[in-house]
Amino acid sequence: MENESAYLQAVNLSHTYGSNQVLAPFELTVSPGEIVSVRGPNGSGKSTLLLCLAGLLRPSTGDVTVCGHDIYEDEPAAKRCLAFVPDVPRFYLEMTAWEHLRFVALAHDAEDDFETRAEALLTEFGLAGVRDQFPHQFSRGMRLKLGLVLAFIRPFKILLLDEPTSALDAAATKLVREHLAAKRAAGASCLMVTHDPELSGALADRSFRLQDGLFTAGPE
Amino acid sequence: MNPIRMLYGRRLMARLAYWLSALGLNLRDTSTGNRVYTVYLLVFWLIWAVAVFALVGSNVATVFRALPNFDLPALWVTLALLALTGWSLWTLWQAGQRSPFIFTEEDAYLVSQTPVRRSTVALALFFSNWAELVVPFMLGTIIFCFAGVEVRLPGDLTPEKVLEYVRYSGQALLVVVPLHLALQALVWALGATRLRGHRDQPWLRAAAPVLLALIAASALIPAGLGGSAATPVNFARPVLLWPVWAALTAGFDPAALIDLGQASPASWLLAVGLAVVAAVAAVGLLALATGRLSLSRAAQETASHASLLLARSYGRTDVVDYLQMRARLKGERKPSRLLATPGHRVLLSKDLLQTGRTLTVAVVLGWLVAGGLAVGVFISPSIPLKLLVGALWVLAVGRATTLRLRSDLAHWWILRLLPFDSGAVFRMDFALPWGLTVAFGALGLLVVDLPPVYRLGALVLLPALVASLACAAGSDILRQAHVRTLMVPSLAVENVPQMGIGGLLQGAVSVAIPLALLEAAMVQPGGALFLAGAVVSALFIAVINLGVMMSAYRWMR
Repeated sequence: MENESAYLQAVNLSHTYGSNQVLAPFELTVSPGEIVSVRGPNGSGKSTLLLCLAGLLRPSTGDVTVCGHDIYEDEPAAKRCLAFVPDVPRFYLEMTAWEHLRFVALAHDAEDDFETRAEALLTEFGLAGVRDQFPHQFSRGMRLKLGLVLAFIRPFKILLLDEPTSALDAAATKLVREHLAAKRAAGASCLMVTHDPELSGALADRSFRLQDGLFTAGPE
Repeated sequence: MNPIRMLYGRRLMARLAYWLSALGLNLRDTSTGNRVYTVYLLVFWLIWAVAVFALVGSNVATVFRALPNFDLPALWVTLALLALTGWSLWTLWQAGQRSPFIFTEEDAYLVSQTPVRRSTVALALFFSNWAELVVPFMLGTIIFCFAGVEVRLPGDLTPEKVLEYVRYSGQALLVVVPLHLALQALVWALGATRLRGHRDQPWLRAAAPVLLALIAASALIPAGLGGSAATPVNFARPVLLWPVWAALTAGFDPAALIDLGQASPASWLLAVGLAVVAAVAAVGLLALATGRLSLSRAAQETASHASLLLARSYGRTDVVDYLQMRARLKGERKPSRLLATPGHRVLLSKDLLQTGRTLTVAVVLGWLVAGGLAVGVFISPSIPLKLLVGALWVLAVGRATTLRLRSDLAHWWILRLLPFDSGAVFRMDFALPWGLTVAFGALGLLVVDLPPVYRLGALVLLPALVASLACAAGSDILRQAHVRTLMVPSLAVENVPQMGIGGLLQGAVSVAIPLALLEAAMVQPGGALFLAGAVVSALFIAVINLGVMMSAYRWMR
């Protein structure tokens, strides 16, 4: 049953690698302004779940709709509403941090006030001093910060995050929490996979657990 | 057994096993059958080696004989001196810039953090590296020795001649190998001195240029011209090169070389003695110099170089290119003005920016080769030649046009989240390489001598054919790619497949039909109809290949 007001909806979604069922069929709906967290042991299929929801990996069964747009049938419209940050973001070798921001902003037609917004975000995340450097010179934490800034520089309705604070210091973790709270206040939604109980406890409206491919409601 | 020696000993054995496997030898199999087979292979390769060295040696001997005022012993001494000195200066220059002790990432974590004796680690690393570095010098020495025997004993290969080959090669190797060891140990000792403790010794970076200047000056300026014998220039020649020169001169004793069977054992023994003493002294110096070697500094300097060497040993040229480019793209860059177009055209701007920043001779050569082979396909006079050049053309176009697509696939999380349909992504990703490949090919077609109608047909067909080949290569890459692999954090584009046999076949079939119709247009009545058929079929196949590629992208798992 399609929920037209939901920002993210998965119906009968499952994924199988060969004979190994990583995700058993499940249903999920994320409403506007809602933050959902997913927890589970290593190798339980959390990253696969995010890849399927982000339209980066074809599920074996089921459909994903983003803001009412099927993620494969109406890909451009769905991708305008969706942002995703992987746990280890990888960047183009030939482009500086600033050029990555410019590229993503232009691709999403988010040029209004770009310079001011980009400067502010980079300053907040402590990347202003390295904005003209190539990301391959960055530490893992700095790359994760740049991945988050790339998501925040463009408009979105639903944000998918994979371990958003795994490589961040305390100040950056607090900043991520503030940004997510602000986005929620503005009506955006978020689904995050995290091992950080504080982040999950402070922000999540609902929590799910993923173990052995089974997606169940509840924190643990 | 010392764990460091065991570790590096095993690595050395693994490298040896790698190279011996290329000859068909398996060191790990200790069965009787394999031992018999090993003996058979050793005998086979020994005979093969003697035959090949004799063949190469006879060709070198022909070159020797053509030289004016040919003096074999003098030539050998000069060449060996130049090779050893030149190589040592080059490695000395490298050791001044980057640690000669190359640590892999595993070494950096394990070995350099453990409280082992620095000199043990350093000597283990040195000997495992030197064992590979000395091989080209050994091969060169053997070839020159075979050539020398060929000069003195021209004619058929006889058992006596084979014995002479072996004797002279053995004698020369016993001089050259310890000399090489001595020089390399000295170079590494200097590199180790630069890496002592936590303070850099920048002045050591100038050692190679200063030595080169002294040697060049001592070689160029006659002894009497520089003033008294005590000037640095006149001092340099005997002091700097004397040990090497003396050993080589004694080792390649003119009497021993010219009068076969009349070798002077005293002279040769002196040479071997000199070389061995030099080697022992240099290795001792290396052991002393590495007592306070900073393994962590060495690891910092060489971690990426170790990755480069590993990629090179596996033949991953794309990873090697990436690592070299990463080393080039450091520091800061002003924001490019190319990124100014909103919407899907920003992909083209990004491609222009990426291409501009990573433009190398190899990349330009790739486009030129693709263009040149296109001309080759049209001008080849026979069908077999056309097929051969055509296959090479398919490969060259496939490689040149998918550079940006492979780069984008390596950044799957960025590419697939862009709000563009697959058609727009491919149009933008292929626009630049397609345009350049077509432009180079068209330029070639305008220059070569072709019948006007054929030239026109080729010029009209070329854009569609290149598009067809690009889409065939792209769809083959996408068919082989897996999202899970693309999302694994990787160093470069090693997780992105390259065009394989499927792409080659698809590309070959795609261009064969239009090209056959073009050929028919030139020889069959109703040529215009065939020409139209060639153009229509080329366009039709290009559209089909684009559809196949879009489908592969859409259904990628």
